[in-house]
Amino acid sequence: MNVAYLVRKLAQALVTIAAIVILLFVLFRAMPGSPDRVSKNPNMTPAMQAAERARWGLDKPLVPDQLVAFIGSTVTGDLGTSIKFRGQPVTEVVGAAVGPTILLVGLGEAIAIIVGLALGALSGWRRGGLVDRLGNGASLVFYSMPYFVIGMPLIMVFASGLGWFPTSGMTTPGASADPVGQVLDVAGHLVLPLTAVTLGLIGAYSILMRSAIIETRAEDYITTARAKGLTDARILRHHAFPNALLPMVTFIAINLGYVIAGAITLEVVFSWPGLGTLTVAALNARDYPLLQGIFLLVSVSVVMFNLLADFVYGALDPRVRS
Amino acid sequence: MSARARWRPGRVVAALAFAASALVMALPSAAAADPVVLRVGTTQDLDASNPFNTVLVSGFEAFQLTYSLLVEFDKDAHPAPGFADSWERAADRVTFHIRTGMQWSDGEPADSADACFSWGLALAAIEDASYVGVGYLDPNVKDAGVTRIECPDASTVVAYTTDQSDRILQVYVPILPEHIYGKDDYTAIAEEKFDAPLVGTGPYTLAEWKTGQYARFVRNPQYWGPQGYEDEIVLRFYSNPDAMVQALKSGEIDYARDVNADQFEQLRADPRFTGVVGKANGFTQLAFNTYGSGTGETIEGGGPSTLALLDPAFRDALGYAIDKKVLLYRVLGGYGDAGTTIVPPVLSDWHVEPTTPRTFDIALAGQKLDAAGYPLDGSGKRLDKQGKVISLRLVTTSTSADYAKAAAFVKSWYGQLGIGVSVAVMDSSALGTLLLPSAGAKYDLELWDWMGNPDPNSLLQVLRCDAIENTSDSQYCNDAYDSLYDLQLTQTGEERHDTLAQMQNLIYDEAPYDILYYDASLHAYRTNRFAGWQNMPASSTPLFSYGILQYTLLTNAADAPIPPVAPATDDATQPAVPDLPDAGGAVSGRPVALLAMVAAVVLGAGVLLARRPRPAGADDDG
Amino acid sequence: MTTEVRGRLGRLLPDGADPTAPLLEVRDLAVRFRTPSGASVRAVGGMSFRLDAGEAMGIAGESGCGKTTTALSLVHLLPGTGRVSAGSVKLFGIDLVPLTERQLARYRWREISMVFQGAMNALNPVQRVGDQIAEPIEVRLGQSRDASRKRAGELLELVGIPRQRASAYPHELSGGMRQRAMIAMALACDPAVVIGDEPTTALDVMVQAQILQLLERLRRELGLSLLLITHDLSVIAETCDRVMVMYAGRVAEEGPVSRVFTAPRHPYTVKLLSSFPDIRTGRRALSMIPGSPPDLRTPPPGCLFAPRCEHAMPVCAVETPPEINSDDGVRVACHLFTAGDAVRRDAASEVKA
Repeated sequence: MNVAYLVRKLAQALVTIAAIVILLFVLFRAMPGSPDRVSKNPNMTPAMQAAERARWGLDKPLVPDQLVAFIGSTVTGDLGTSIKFRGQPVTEVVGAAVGPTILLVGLGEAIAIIVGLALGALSGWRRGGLVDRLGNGASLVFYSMPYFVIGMPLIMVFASGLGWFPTSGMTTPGASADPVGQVLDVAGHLVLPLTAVTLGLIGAYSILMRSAIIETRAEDYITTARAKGLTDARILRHHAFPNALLPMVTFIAINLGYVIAGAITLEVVFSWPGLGTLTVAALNARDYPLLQGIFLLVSVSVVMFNLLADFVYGALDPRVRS
Repeated sequence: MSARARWRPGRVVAALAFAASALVMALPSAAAADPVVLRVGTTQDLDASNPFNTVLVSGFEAFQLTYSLLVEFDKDAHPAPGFADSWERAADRVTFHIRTGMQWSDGEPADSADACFSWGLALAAIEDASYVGVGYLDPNVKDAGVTRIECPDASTVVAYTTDQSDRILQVYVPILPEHIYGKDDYTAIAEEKFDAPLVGTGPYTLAEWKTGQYARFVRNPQYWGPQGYEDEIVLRFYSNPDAMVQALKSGEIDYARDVNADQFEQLRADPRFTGVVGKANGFTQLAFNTYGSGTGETIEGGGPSTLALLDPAFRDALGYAIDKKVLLYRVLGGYGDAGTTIVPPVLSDWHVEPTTPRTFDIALAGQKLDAAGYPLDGSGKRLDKQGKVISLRLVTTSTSADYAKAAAFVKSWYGQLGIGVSVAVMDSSALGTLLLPSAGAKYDLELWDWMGNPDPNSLLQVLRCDAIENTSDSQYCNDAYDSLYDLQLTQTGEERHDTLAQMQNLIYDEAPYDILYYDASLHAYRTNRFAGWQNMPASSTPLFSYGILQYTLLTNAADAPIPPVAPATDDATQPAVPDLPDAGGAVSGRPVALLAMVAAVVLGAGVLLARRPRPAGADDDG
Repeated sequence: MTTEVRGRLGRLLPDGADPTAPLLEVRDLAVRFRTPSGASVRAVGGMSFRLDAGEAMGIAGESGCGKTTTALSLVHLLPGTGRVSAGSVKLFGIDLVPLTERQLARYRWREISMVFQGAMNALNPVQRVGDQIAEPIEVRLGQSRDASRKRAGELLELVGIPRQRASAYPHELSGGMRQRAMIAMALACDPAVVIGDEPTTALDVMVQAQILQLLERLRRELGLSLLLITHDLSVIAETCDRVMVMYAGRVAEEGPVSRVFTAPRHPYTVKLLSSFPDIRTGRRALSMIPGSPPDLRTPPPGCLFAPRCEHAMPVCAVETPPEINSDDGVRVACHLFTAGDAVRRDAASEVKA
């Protein structure tokens, strides 16, 4: 893997991101609606409306004026000011939502990848066994369930019912001053949404891993391994799993790339102050600068994780390396 | 070497755990030891702590806690001392007297200079027709006829007005500290973020705002009025209304704003909670697209699909086909009032009932349509005067499921008259844009709502000719109505009441709007921590109403010897309404409980399905 | 190439082994598969054969005749629904058929190892070749990591691959190299029997010759006992002492290569041989024998080859032919050779012509 290759890959990534961002810029504006027509305000006068449009630069033609201005400011790192959260820079609004999303969805992905791959591997390896019947059944159910359906019963049972956890949100306002108390507070708030996101994701990973393992199990080298008199566990760990993992790498990378986008429904259900909730708010408000900021971040993340997937794939599969 | 391909989950977990804890540690620290905190839940996320930038009720609540208005509201929503402790009206001016010795929360003196500075921002913005105040602050000032403001000395503010109305006493201009923002003009102010902690003269000042999570207010020891019982107020924002109700039940919050009718009934049945039905200063209307009425103008490729919509007789006849009572009970669960005129009953000083009301009678509606020249054709379809089948496009928004429910009823009733209705639901921004003639105004019926100011003017002006291409959603234009509007601006008392009565009847009879119902706002609160809850005014709710007086009147529930008396509005029990029809698309029930049951069933079925023995030989390999 | 290899004689035999028993003796082996519709199909039926120490036996036959199934069934490696339904597989006199998976593990690779066709698929693509060879030494023989790596290097050199190539991945080796590595892997635990399942099929002619030479040399130097499965009769002719021709899951004819290939008795063997014009040089895929093997889901009664047989008699469609052992060590299952019937012997001589 030489430097030229790396540079070429990075350049490709940059071009991809630029294309996505420009496409989204146009798409957002092609949506029916406009930020100045969001709230029904009986006091609005035509003059004020015009002034408002001028304030967001919506009075100028979309192409080239608005687009050129947008590209110019984006390149210089200025993502503009939010329309919904008036007066707040987009970087600030987005920045505040990134942490909570990575904490919730990133952690959920991590747990789900480990548990889901293990569960899927066991299910596929002993197809029709107890693990498969229970695990795969539950996986299918949770995979097909919207987060609202997973989340609300969790809230009703474990939060308002048993009172073990807070119903929603990420922190208790003014609850604790010391860092340990705060960590515990966030951890307490994290349990239910994390459970919901993990359940949903485990399903996806486990179902895919299961079929990958089933496919791998039919390979000749598994017969070789059996002929070698290796234990089932060793064959699974050393021969089936590393090979079945290969098709999963791309899927995992794409999923991780989208971590940054948050889990929209999940965050809304649990009032989690992440990028998912923010995206909904920005979309409803036709907050173009905020939408652009969020999707720029998501595009960068997705493209970078795809790039990473190429490298990880190379590390895991010697055939790709040479 | 085989380690290369080996899976090492242990390291991944460790790395992630480390990252997670680092993230958590980075969170800012919160305040200290055990203050009495009033926790209020709302589904409306705060958009800005800058009063010139917020467009939301939660934003108005937030800035009024921090910043005093020149004149505030008492518990009946009447003018009460605020930044000014008294005032008197002369023909061309109102003189306000600022209390002496008042201080900002940072200890700086607060006097008339701050008021002149703050009002000056609004007046300058009006003069430039600026966006500052995003349509909420400035029009109040303009509507009050304020032309000029002067501060002859530290304790006096004089406002010159063009009329003699008392609207100047309802103006939402927050008094900002000049010593902090004085260097800025209004355009600079509009770009200010107003980062917490804020300095104000209100009872509680914004100490912390975490976007999408909560806003925390702390007691202002310098507050000019009596101190409240609670030390802090927290507004918590919920993106999921069901979760907010669960939080009220679990005791995480003390007050919940805007719960749905099903949740409200559950809460009211529970002795731990009190439910409040607050009459909203607004309505939900069915607007007819009357573009071209009076002017004869048309929109190329847009506008109403039939000229019948421009005919008052047609609209009047359709008015007999709407059963307001059914809408009230089937859509709002009985909470609210059946709609009539354009000024809501909550503005009791101005609201009148129509002189010649319509009643629900589909047969009569049909006869009136026949008589007005809209006969049925052979296949039972209603024809307009050009002989074209009338088929109407109804547009509404997805912000509340109520709209689609109401639309389904309208569709079914109009259908009985041989008039087809197609319903399109879209988000509010898309709908708001669609209504503009410049965007085609391609719709026939619009089902949406309006919320007004303390004064009825804002609701009245959306039917003026000059509201077209702006706030108008009926494209209605009637010079007689506009003249009456201008006339009432100059009037007060009985005179104005009579003019407003005339306007309300004119709109009711001409029917560019069919007011379907006056919405209600359903709030609920716990009674175990705080006592002293009161609706302000009596027809409304304790919080999120006029002013912020309630926040300073709460007491410790433990000190209240007698259990708090249920507010008068809470006994608004629903009479049983027998045999209401149901529209095809209208759904009711308890969605959350239903979903939980569905989840349980799906889960059970899934496990059973997975356990079902597979047919012999269905193995993958062999 | 003179690396010392631990001699076969010094190896430990499994518990309960009978030193006087034949190395491998299979009797009346039957293998059944369950079809997706739930029916049971007999893929191999009534197979008997014997392999002595140091001997090389070839198993020949068309694709799908049960060669590989027979080999895999010896140590229960049948895929999915396949299982041994009858018979015995005795190694050193110990019957492997009734053993559990756990008990059987002792015999896999240490006693019976395999060289599969197309080593690309038979080797784990993401593991280094050296690691794959060392794995059974480390795991099965309990040797240290270093010792097993060292031994893997020796084995690679034994099959003619420089030991530095141990760190290569399968795809980095040529087809012939992979097959050599596979052979080295099969020798890792010094097994009593090595089964080669079409070990040269996927290779080009030159490489095939090299691999066969290697097998020949190893057999000579190590005294390997080899069971060589192939549809390529020339391979058997070159490498094996005895040959067993299978048809539709049964033995058609079995005997010393010299006899069977020069004087085939079973009409199927005759057809098979005639499709190879010159056994010494011709390495072509089997040319067509008219008709196709029977559908084992609905096997015809009597001799399974009868429908394709030019010499079929009425009895062939009714009765399964018994296996007839003749004095020259050839065994044949054909009604033409039922004992004491001169007419049929005449017919048989026609077959030869």
